[in-house]
Amino acid sequence: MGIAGRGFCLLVLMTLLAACGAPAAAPTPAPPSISPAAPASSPGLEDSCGDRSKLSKELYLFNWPDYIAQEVLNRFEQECGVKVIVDTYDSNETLLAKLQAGATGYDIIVPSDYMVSIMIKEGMLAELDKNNLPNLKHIDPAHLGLYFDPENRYTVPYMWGTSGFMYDTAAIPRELKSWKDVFEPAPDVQGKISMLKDEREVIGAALKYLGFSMNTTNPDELQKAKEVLLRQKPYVKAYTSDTNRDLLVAGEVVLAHIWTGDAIRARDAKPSLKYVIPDEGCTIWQDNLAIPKTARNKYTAEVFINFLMRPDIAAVNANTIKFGSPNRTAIQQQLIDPALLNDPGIYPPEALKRKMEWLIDVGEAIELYDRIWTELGVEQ
Amino acid sequence: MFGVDIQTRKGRSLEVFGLLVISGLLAFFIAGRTAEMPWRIVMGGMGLLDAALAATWILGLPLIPTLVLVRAALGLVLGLGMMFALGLVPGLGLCFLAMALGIAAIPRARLPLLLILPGTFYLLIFFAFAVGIIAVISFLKRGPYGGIRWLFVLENYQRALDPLYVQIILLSLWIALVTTVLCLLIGYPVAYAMARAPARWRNALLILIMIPFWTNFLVRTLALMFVLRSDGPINGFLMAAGLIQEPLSLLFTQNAVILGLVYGELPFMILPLYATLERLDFSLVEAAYDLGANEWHAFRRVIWPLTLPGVLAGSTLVFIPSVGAFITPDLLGGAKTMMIGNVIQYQFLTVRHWPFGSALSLILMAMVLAATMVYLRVGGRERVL
Repeated sequence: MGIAGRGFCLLVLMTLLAACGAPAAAPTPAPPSISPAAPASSPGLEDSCGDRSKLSKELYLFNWPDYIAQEVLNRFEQECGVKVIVDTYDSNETLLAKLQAGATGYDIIVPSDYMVSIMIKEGMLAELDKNNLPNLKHIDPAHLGLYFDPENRYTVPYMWGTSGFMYDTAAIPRELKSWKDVFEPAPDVQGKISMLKDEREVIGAALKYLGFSMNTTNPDELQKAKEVLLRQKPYVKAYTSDTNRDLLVAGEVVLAHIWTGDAIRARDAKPSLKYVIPDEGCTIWQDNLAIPKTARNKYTAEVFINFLMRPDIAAVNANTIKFGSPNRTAIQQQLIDPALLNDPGIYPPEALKRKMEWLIDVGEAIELYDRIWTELGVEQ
Repeated sequence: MFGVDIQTRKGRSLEVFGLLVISGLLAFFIAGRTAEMPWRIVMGGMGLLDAALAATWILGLPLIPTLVLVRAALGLVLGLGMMFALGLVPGLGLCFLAMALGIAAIPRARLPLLLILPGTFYLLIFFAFAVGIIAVISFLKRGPYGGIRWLFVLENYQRALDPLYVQIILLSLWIALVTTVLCLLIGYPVAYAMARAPARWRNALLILIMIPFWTNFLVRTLALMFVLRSDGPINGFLMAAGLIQEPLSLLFTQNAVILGLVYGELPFMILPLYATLERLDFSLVEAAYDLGANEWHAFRRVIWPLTLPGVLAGSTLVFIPSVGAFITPDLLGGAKTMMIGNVIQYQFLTVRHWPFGSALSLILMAMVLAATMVYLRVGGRERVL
C-alpha cells in the first residue's frame, strides 16, 4: 500500500487545500427574505404587526401551562407571520431560578406581581418601548401603576385573579363564604379539604382569617396563624396547587383553596362547584407580560404584547383561559362572554375588591414563613 | 519528498492522516456556515491547524504525534462547547472525530488511559465540580433575593442541627428503611422464583420486571394516585364486596408514600438479587440437605450468606433514592409529610435559600456515603453483579 497510500495522501491533501479556500469564497446565505406569505390583515381590523421588516420569524414565550389560547397564537402567525413557540414553567420561583441559572432565548415571560418586583430589583427585565404599545390605552387603569412597577416601565398586565376557595354545593348544601368555613371546617367538610401548596398563600389565608395583613412580618401574628394552620391540618387531605382541580372534580375533596382560573375550569367539568371570594378578603394577583434583558427579539416581543392587548384578541384569550382580563375595552364592549363577566368569582364587585391584598415580597421575613411551613410539614 | 517513511512509521499513520483531513474539512465546513464571529474564527483556526498537522504528519517530524494528541484534547473540549454554541450535531461530530484522532494517534500501550478520559472528564465537570460548587455555597450567606453573599458562615450547618430538621431527616431515614425492608421481603422471593424458573422463561420474567421502566416515573405515580382514590378501583372493589361501608383513606397518607416508593424501587432490589441467585450453585443447597439441614437451616446457613452481596447491593440501590425522594411524598402524600428531599427542593425553588439547601444536600450526601461505606465494608469485597 506504499505507493497507493502515498498517492492517496497527496490526493486528499490537495482536496483539503482546495477546501481551504472554500469558506472564504462560499457565498453567505441570502438574508432572510420578508415572508410574502404573511397576508395583509383583514379589512376592518387594525394592522397589529408594526414594522414587518423588523419582525423575527419566531418568538419564544415562556408562560404558565394552559395560559394562552391556541387561537391567539394561530392568529398572530396568520396576521404577522411570526411563529410563537411556547415553553412553560409551573411557578414564579421556577421562572426566576431558570433565568438566574442563565437560561436565555426567551423573548416574553409572564411573572406575577411580587416576582416582577424581584426581577426589577435584580435588573433582569428590559424596559418597554411604549411607542410600540399603543393598545395600552385599552387596559383598565386600576391594573396599571401597581406597587411592583409604578410606571409600568417593564410590564403590562396580562391576567389577574384571586385565591379564594371552591366548594361542591352538591356535597355541602349550605352557603359558605368565610375563611372560617375553611379553617374551622364543619364535620361534613373535615378531611375533605385541599389547600394550595404555597406557603405565602396558605399562611396568608390564615392571617386574613385572623384579620391580619397577608404581608405581616410580625412574629406574634405569624405565630397565631401557625396555630390556626396546625389545628386545621388534621382536616386537610392534601396540600396541592396542581391537582386540586382533579380532586374537586373527582369528589376526593369537597372544598379546595384554589386560584381563580383553575376554579373556573373545574366548574366547567362539574357545574355543582362554586368559587367563593371570602368575606374577609383574599389574595389578588396579577400576571404580567415582560421582556427579559436576554431576549433576542425585543421588537417582535413588543409587537406581540401589543397584539395581546388588542380588545378582540384579549377577549378570545379571556374567553378561553377564563381568568380575569384587565382589558377595559373588551369588557365594556362585551367582547368577553357575559357569563364570565357576570361571575363575581372572576369579576368581583368593587366592595369586595377593596378587601383584597397583594402578596408583597416580605424580604428576610420569608424565613419566618418558611419555618412555619416546614413545621406544618413535620406535624403529623 | 513527502511521506518518505510513511510505511516505516509505527502506529496508524494513514488513519491519523485521514482523520485529520476529515476533521479539518468539517471545521472549515462549520466555519463557512457560522455567522457568529468568534466561532467562525475558532473553527477556521482549527481547520488550518488540522491542515498543517496533516501536512507535517506525512513528513514524520518528531514532535508531531504529541501535537496531534494536543489537537485531539482541544477538539474534545471545543466540541463540547460547540454543542451549546452551534448545535448538537456539529459539536458531537467534532467530539467524536477528536476521540477517534486520539485513539488513532496514541501508542497502543497507552490506549486504556485514553479510553477512561471522556468518562473522567464527564465526572469531573458534572459531578466533582458541581458538588464543589454546592460545598462552597453551603458556607455562604443568602442574598436578599435568592442568590448568595460571599461571607463565610457556619450558620447553615448550625440550622440543619435544629430539632425541626433533624426530625425531618430521621423521618426520611425511617421511611427509606421501611421501604428497603419491604422491597427486600417482596423482592427476594420473586428473585428466587425467577432464578429457579426454567431457563427459557427467565428472560421473559426479566422483561416483565423491566416493563414499568417503559413509562415515566411521574406518570406511574399519577396513575397510582388514581388507583388509591376514594372512588378508585381498590375502594370500589372493597365496597362492592361489602367489606367496607365508607371508602378508606388510602391516598395522601404516609403509607401511600411508602407504597409508592416500594412500587418505584422494587425492580432495583429484584435485579441484583436475581443476578446473585442466578449464579448460586444450587448443588450446594442439596449438599446441605444431604448433610441433614432442614429448609430453614439451608436458607439461613447456605443461600442467605451466598446471596448477601446481592441483598446489600439491592438495599443500597433502594435506600439511597428513597431517602432523597421528593416527588412521591408530594403527590401520594399530599405534601403533608415533608421528607428531606422536599425541604431541599423547597429551599432552592421557593425560599431561594441556596446556602441552606446546599448544606442540607451535603448532609444528605454524607449520610448516603456512610450507607455506601457500610455496604463496601460488609459485602463489597465480593463481586456483586
